Amino acid sequence: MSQELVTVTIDGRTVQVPKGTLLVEAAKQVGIHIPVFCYHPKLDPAGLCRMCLVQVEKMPKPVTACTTPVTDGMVVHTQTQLVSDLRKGVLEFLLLNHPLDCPVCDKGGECDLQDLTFAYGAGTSRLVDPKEHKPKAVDLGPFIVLDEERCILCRRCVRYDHEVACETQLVVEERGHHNLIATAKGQPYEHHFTGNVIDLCPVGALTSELYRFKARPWDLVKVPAICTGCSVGCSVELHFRHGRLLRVIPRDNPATDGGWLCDRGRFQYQYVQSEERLTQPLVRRNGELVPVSWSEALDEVARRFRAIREQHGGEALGVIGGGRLTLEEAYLLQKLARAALGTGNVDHRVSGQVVAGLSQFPGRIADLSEADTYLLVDCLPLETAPVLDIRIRRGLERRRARLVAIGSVLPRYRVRHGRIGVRPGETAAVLRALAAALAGAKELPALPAGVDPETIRELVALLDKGQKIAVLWDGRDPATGRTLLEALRALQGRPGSRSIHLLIPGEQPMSRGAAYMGLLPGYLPGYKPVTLAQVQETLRRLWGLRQLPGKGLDTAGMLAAAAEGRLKGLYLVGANLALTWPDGDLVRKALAQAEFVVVQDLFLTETARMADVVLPAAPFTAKAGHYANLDGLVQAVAQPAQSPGGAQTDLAIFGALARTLGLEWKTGVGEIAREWQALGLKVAEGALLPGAPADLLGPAAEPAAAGTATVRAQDGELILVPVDRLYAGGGTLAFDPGMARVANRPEAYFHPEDLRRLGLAEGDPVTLSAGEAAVDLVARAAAEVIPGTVQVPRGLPQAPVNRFGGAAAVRVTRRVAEVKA
Amino acid sequence: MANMLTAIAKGLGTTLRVMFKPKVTLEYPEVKKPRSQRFRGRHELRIYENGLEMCVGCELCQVACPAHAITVIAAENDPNNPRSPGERYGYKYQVDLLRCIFCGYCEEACPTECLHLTQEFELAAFSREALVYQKEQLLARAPSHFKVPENVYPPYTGRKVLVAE
Repeated sequence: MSQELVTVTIDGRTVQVPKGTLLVEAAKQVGIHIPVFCYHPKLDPAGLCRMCLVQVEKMPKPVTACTTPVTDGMVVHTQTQLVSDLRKGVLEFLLLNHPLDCPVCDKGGECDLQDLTFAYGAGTSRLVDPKEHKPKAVDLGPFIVLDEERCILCRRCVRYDHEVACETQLVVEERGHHNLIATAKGQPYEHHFTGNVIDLCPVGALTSELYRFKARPWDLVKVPAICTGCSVGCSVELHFRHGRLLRVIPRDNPATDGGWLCDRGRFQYQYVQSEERLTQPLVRRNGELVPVSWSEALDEVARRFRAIREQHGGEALGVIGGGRLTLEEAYLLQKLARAALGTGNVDHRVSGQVVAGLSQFPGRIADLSEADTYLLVDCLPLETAPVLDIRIRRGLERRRARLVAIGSVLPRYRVRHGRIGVRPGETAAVLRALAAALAGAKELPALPAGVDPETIRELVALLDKGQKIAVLWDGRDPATGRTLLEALRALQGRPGSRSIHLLIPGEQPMSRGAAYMGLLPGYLPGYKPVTLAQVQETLRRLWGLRQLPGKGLDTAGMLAAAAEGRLKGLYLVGANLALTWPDGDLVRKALAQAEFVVVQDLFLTETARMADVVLPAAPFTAKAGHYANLDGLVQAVAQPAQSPGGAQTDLAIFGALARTLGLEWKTGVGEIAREWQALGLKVAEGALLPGAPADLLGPAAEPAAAGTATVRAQDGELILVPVDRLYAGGGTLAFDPGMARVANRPEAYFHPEDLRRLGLAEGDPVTLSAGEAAVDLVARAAAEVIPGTVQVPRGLPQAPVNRFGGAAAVRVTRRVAEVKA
Repeated sequence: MANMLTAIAKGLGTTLRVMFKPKVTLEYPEVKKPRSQRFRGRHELRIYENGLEMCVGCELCQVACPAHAITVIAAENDPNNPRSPGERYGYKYQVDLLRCIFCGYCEEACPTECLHLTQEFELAAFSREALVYQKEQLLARAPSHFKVPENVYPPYTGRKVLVAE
């Protein structure tokens, strides 16, 4: 759209709008509401419903305001008798076959058809014949119920599916009066963004299965909040009735969600009021976890931690905070560890991810909507941060952006794109060659088998053409990270101008904020190294300490130390390590060996079951504070609701624990903000947190060591690649009744060739084994799997892939079908 | 003396006159005072001729109530054992008669003519809880003369699967 302005007069009001603006949008600017059904600002104009007909001077017939761009000097009338008659007529047609079951319909009260009929329609119907009957209450997909009778065929859902979600699942079938919304081939409507059609539907044809008949719009208490499901941090609105969370809808925020939510963000909310949520602290007595009072549990924690500290020193304690903490909570937890427990062993990383954001090449989520080149490194944005993928898909399809994916896991896109598939651990070698090629080297370093040097040259040519390059990396392998930065620096150094934006969609929602708040060994709040004398001095004064503990162990170090018996006490906050940490055996050993383990979580997770004390934490609906998302954007949230039962917010628990330890800390949100101010940290709504320093990626390793495959497969073995899946995981997902219908089943994905070679068929029960570890799964064919590897979702409670301790060579055997009694 | 006698005679005269007038006192509770046809007493939820509940759980009565006396929670009908025609029924229906001001707005709001205020006015109880009437207490005992309207609620046969052609 050009910036040239045109003048248009609508109902006598003159407005200047950019050329190309649609009439309906221009009218909004002067406060004139033109009724629409099929038009939606985020979809392409369609002109289907004819509700927006208006009169334009010098045009012979009424025109649709939703498809007509304004021109200079246009004079428009929206309030004439003709327009009024037209609206009445259109509504009469729309209501011909529309059932009058508003009292039953979930949309009643927030229905466009209801509202516009009230405003512009006729009072009574002239129809005397029976109405057309169509299927009602059709299960369109796992979360969506379709009522064909109520559909007015505006096709917003179909258009959304094609234009925004870039899928081709929804179609319109049949002709005329018999038009039906259906899916291509009659398959269930399933992808990660189906829920958005519920918001788009102007009538009650598409409704949510989980919200079905639960409430009326006027019952709902609507509270703005931030989705804590992944690191994107979408703006949402929580709808409560009688204190129960009944619905989650998006709030359009151009910096994050862009008005769309993924299905997990939208539909995973029932865990908040799950019966299985912990409501009372549990303490292990004679080998059993028994419920006790808060004061009893906190006394026990304080007593045991103090005893360990006195006996073995602060180094014998470790604190691991998961990814669900607000900035305030993360700050207070590291303060608790450093100042109250006297240990430098603090970390927040629980999934094997090393960094969540780097200070080099900082990217914003909105950059994805403008980038002309995407480089995906070992990254599946669709599964870890789904809303990002909407921007990428649209970029590929609408802006003809180019995309290259490198890694042992490759995404799937409809349009043509580059794919460089390698074995786990080989990504760094490809990037090293890319860096060399970008730096102008004639001779490329050794490439993994199957990657042609010509491919790298093509990639260089492609990156050279890019003006705005978005790079997405999963943040796991430090060697990949170092070589990636090397390659990006080489790219930056090439002739021509370009901007490079690096985003790291991590698995933990709040790791970016936790890292900034000092939940990292060796880094104090604000990424200040623990060795920096000046910061030490400030903190000592602020926290009233004589000695600040030095650099401690990271998660891997803590687990290893605990397994060896050096670390005696562990405090795990929202960290289900038994399921998420790449090496599950190490976790089990560490938790068994440690003298005293405290787990703070919403549910009795795999990890909590091994704890000595379990503290019940409140879900995000009870929290107030600030969150930081993957590009560092800080968003403030007021407490949406009270938490029922005896669970407390993490902030309240940390405060209570500090007081039980005999410290006179003030731990309110306001006091913490004052401490931030004293430390020079700028944390406020809309602020951008800086990224982590690159030395988190560790020292540069020998070129030979980095970039070689971590595992080699023998004959008949495949290399196991743990992959992210949106609906896999323990924690909140496993305990959410609404998610059961989509939760990932224990499945292993094979390349179709491998499946054939192994003599297996789709759906065969298989066992993957390596040494003593074995996991039972069901075989599935997937074309995007790299030949010679087998992918298994991470964090499945029924089939924990971390039994293999990361990528491993596994033997695949077919299980004999179990005989059912 | 004469004055006194006159007064007695006057008084007895009145008694005598009233004795032959129609009686005003009612033998309550055996006999009840007639009420206006539009009298607004306790709520009742009508049922259709065929025994189905007329309430579909739309909550319009709840939103119309100026005293916040009504609470409705709806649920999906079991197609094998439907409570009401259509997909939705009032799973929970409470009227807090202590809050109710008997204005009749709920009756006016009801789109199915289910809710109406009866002639019953004897609404005393010994506890507050007892005056929060539940759905079982509010449902009419006998079917009304109302028929399930045609073309509005097609019989609910349960969820359909999207079938491949």
